[in-house]
Amino acid sequence: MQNTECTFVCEQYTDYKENALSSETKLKVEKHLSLCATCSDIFQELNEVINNLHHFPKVTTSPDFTNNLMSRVDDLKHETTWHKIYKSTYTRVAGYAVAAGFLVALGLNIWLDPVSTINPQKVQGFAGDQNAPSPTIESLVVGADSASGGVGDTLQLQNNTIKATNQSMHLVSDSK
Amino acid sequence: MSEKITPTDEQLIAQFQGGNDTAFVELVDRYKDRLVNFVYRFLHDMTDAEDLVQETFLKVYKNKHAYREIAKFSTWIYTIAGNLARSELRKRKRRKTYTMSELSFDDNEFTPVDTGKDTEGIVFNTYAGQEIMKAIKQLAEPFKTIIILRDIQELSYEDISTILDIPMGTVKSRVNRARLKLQETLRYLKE
Ligand SMILES: [Zn+2]
Repeated sequence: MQNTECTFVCEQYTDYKENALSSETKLKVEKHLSLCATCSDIFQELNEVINNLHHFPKVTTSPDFTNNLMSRVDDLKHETTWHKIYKSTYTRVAGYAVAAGFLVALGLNIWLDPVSTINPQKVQGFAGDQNAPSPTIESLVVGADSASGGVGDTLQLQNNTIKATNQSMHLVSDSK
Repeated sequence: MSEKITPTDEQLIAQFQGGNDTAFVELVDRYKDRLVNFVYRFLHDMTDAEDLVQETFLKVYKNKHAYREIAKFSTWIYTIAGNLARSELRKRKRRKTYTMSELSFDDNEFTPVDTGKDTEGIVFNTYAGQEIMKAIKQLAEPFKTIIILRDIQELSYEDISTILDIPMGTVKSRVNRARLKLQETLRYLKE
């Protein structure tokens, strides 16, 4: 483009092609094109390029495209079901309630009767003979083990709930 | 003989929103090739282009209720595919296999091309076609996008305006500028 008039005319190319110019501007463009070989060449080249673009070779998806997609959709549905379960507030609240219930029950049990919880054998001792042998260290250790096993279970349950919550967050962020 | 009435895209998405997956498959069949042609012009790799179109449809599947009847389905899905293509280009750019000035529309320099990948899947029957493809690859992103949408995909100004979220007037002037840019690039390549 050589000068401002050439620039102006080239800016009108698309509107000129689509017959969107006012008759006045159209006349101005046509007059310029008849006198300016540069702009006339540009218009000619643009016509060819656009014609080529309209007939550009097309690419197509592979024949198994839809099948592959639908199997991914199936995976997604499966994922979505779990997502819903984990995401459900009800499930989470229920999980917390069960975990909390377990803790409270265990706590109450220990508070009300710490010995029996730690060592059931001791109950027999209290209920029966005062002279019954006191629990051996071994039995205390066994008792403590079983008690800690109980706590462990509860913690594990809580962990499961937390894990489930994490998973739902993960899935939620995945679905974004 | 009774002629079967073809449902519009908007009717299909409404059916799909109502739980009909067959309507979704119909939409996939209508748009898969159009979209792969669209994103291929950016990615220049058939495998990547197909993957991206699959992602596009999965997004549609997951977010079917995000579609509102006020919009045309075509512009909605083109927008999704375009955004995914853009973020893929950004990823590639970060991986330094792609060095194109994407954001500055007023950049007058021709930018280096994606050299990592070559055209695959397209056979040009004319020399002119090959040259034009090369020239398009060298255009800065906004010029390239507008050429692809208007001159290859042959979308209306109105649809392009919706997809790119820019006013119609801007679309029109950008189309003209992009065409001139392409013609200029072709001349430059021929020299
Ligand atoms: Zn001139």
